[in-house]
Amino acid sequence: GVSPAFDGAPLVGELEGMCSLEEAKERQMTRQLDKFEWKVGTDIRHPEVNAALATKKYQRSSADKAYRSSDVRTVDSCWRTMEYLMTEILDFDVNPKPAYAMQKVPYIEVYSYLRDRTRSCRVDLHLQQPRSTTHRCFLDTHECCLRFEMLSLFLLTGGSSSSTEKYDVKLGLKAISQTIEPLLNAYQVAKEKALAKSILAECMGGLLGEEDAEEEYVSPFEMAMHRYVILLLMSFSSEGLLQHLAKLSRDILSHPLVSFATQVFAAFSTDDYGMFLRVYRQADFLTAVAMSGVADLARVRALFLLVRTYPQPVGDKLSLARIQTFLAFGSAEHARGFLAFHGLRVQDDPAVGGGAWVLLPKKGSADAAACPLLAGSAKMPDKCEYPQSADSMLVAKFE
Amino acid sequence: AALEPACSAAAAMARAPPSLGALCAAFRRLAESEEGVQLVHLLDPLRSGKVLLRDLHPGGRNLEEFGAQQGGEAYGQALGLYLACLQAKADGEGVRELELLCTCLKTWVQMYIEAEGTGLWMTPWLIFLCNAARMAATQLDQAKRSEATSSDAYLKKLVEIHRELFQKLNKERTKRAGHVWVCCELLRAYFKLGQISQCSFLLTAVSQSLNRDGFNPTELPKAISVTFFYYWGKHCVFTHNLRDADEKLTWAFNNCPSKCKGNRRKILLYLVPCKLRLGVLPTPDLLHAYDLAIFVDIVRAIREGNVRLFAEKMEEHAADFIKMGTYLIMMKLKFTVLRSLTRNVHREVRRQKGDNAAHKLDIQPFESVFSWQDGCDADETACIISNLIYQGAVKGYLSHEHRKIVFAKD
Repeated sequence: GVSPAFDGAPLVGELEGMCSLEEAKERQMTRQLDKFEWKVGTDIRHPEVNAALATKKYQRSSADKAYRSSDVRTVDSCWRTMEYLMTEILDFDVNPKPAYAMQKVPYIEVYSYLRDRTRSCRVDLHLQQPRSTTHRCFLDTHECCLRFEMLSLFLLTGGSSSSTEKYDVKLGLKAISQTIEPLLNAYQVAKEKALAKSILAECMGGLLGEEDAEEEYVSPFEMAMHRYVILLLMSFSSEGLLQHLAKLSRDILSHPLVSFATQVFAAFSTDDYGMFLRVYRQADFLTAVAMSGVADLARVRALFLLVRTYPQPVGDKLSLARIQTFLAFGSAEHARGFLAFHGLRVQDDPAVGGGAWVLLPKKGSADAAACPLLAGSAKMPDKCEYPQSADSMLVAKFE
Repeated sequence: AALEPACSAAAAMARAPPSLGALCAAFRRLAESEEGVQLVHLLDPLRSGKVLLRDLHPGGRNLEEFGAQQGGEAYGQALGLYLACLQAKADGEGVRELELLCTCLKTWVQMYIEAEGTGLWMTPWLIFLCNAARMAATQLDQAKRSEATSSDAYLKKLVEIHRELFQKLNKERTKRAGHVWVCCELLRAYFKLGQISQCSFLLTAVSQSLNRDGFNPTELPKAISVTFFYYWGKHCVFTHNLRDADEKLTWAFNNCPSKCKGNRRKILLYLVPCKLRLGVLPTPDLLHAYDLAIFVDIVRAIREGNVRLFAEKMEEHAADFIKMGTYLIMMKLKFTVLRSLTRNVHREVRRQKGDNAAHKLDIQPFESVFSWQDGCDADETACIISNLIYQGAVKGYLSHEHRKIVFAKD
C-alpha cells in the first residue's frame, strides 16, 4: 500500500472495515475515542473501544501527507460506514440502542460525532479521485451528507442546549458548501464521461468493450440536489447565486425540480412574498429547510405590505387564522409571538377563525405609534429581528 | 476618419499572399505612413487572402529576429513577436502562442504610449492583438475544461496583463482610445468570469480620468466607443441602474453601424429589458428585424395584462435570460403585468356596474381572476394588490375586514 506521495499512482483504498484496528487501539490509548465507540459498561475514565462500533476519525488531508492504502477505506466501505452512521447513530437522541455505552445523548453531540465521521468518509473518497468520482458510492455519500447537514440545520437552529457544545450555523453552512462543491463536480464529471462514451460508441459503430459498455451511474436525486443548492444559496449566500445559475446547463435549468427553485428565488427577489410564503407552506420538508434562511424576512416584508396599505384613518382587522396561513406559520403561538414582536395587537374572539382578530391600528392611535412597521421607515425592512428559533412550519412538516 | 483605408496600392499588397520579406517591407511602409487599418488587413490571416505561415517561407530563419530587423527600427520588434506567434500557432503550441501574443501586445502598447499625439492609427492593431490573445486564451481554457480541471485559468492570466496595461494607459492623457479599449477587454473578461463587482472600480477609474481631462468618450472611434457603452450599459443592467443602462445602451445602439446586425442584436438583448422596465414597449417589427422572438410574447403579455402567458414564456426562456444575466430584471416585469391585469379587472367590473359603478370594489372578482391567471389564492391576491399599492402602481387601499379595494377616483 504505497501512497501517491511516493509513486504518483492514484490511491486505491484497501480498508474494508469502518475503522482500522490500529487506529481504534491508538485512539483508545490516547483517549480519543468517542462515546459512540465505547464498550458497554466500560470505565468512562479509561474507556475501551468496541471495535465493531469504531468509525474512522476525520484527519485533515494535505498534498504532502503520506497515505497508506491500508488506512483508506474502499469506496464501498465508505458507503457502508455512511449507512451505519445514518441508521444507528442519527436518531440516537430519540432512539438509543442498547449496544452502546451511553444512552442519553443530546442531538448536538450526535451531530458533532456524525459531522466528524461523515467528513472522514468524504476525505477517503476524495483521496481516491478521479477513480472514485463517478462511483455510485461517491454520489450517494455526498447526497446523504447534504441531507444530514440540512436536517441538522433545522434540528439545532435556535435550540437551547444544556450541552457544552453549541451549534454554529456558520460551521454548518461551511460543511454544506464543502459537500456541495465535490457533489456538483461529480455530477458534471459523470455527464462528461457519459458523453465521451457515447461519442466512442458512435465511432466504434456501437460496439464497446465490456468495461466501456457498462452504463455510468446517474443519480435519481441529482435534480433535487440542484434544487436544494439553489435554495440554500438564496437563503444564505445570495450574492453568488446568479453566477451559479448561469453556469448550469440548459437541461438542468429547465428541469421542473430546478425551475421550481429559480422561480422561488425570483419570487423572493422581486418582492412576491405571497408566492414565496405559499410555496414555503406547501413545500416538502427539506425544500422548506433550504428556504428557511429567508422565511422570516419574507414574513416581515409581507406583513409590512399589509400594514402599509389598509385604510389607516379607520383601522382594519383580519383573522388570526388568515394571518397564520398567509405568513406560513405552523402554529398560532408562533403567529402570535411574531405579531406581538412587531407591535401588532391580537384580540381574542372565539367566533372568528383562529380564535382571534389581528388589529391593524387607527392612524394617530397609541397602537399605531407602537407599531414599528407603521411608524418606522417607509422602506421595506431589510432584515427581520425576530429571535431565531425552531420554525413552526418546519416543525409541522418534520412531525 | 483616421481609421479609414486610404492607399489602394497598400490594399492590393494586403490582398496578395506575400513572401516574408515583402510582408515585412509592407509592414514597415504601412507603419511609417500610419495606415492602421491596412496594417490589420496585412497581418490578419483571415483577411489577407488566408495567408498561412508556410506561404511566408521562413526557410529556417528565426522569425522574431527577422521581423525585428526587417520591420523597421520603430515597430519591427512588434512584428517579429507577431510572426513568432504565428509560427507557434502553426506548430500547435497554444501556450507559447498566447505568451508571444501577450508580449507582442505589451510591446505594441508601449510603442503606442511613446508615439506622438493620439497614436490613433495604432489602435486597430491594438484591438486585433487583444482579440487574438482573447481567442487563444479561450481555446486553451476550453481544452483544460475537458480535463475536468479548473477553467478560465488562461483568461485570468490575460486579465492580469490587461490590468497592467490599463494602469499604464490610465496615466496617458493623449492615449484615451487605447485606454478605453483595454477597459473594454477587462469588462468583457469580468463578465465572462462572473466577477461583475470588479467592473465598478474600472468604470469609475475611466469616468474619473475622462472627466478630469474634459474628454468625451463619444469622440472616440466608433468601434471603441460603441463597445465601451455596450459594456457600461450592461454593467448598469446588472446593478439594476436602469436609467443609466437605458442611456448607455441606447447610445451604443444608435451609434452601432446598421450593417452590424449581430452587434445591434447583442445591445438589444439588454436594452429591451431596460426599456420594458421603464414602460417602453418595443414594436413587433423591431423584435422580428433583430430575431428577438424571445421577447415577442412577453411584450404581448405586458400589453394585455396576461399573467399566465407571461409566466409561461418566462419559464420557457428562463435558461436564456439566466445565461444573459437578465432573469431577475425580466421577472420584475411580473408586477407590470399584474398592474395591467388589475386595471383590466377594475375597468370591466366598473363597466358591468354601469351608472352604479363606485370606486369601492369587492375583492372577489380580483381573487377569481388572479386565481385563474396565476393560481393565486386569496391571501396571495391580497399581497399582490398590497404590493401594487405600496409601489404606487395602484392608488388606493385594501380593507381586509370588508373585503373591499378602494381605488382613488383618478
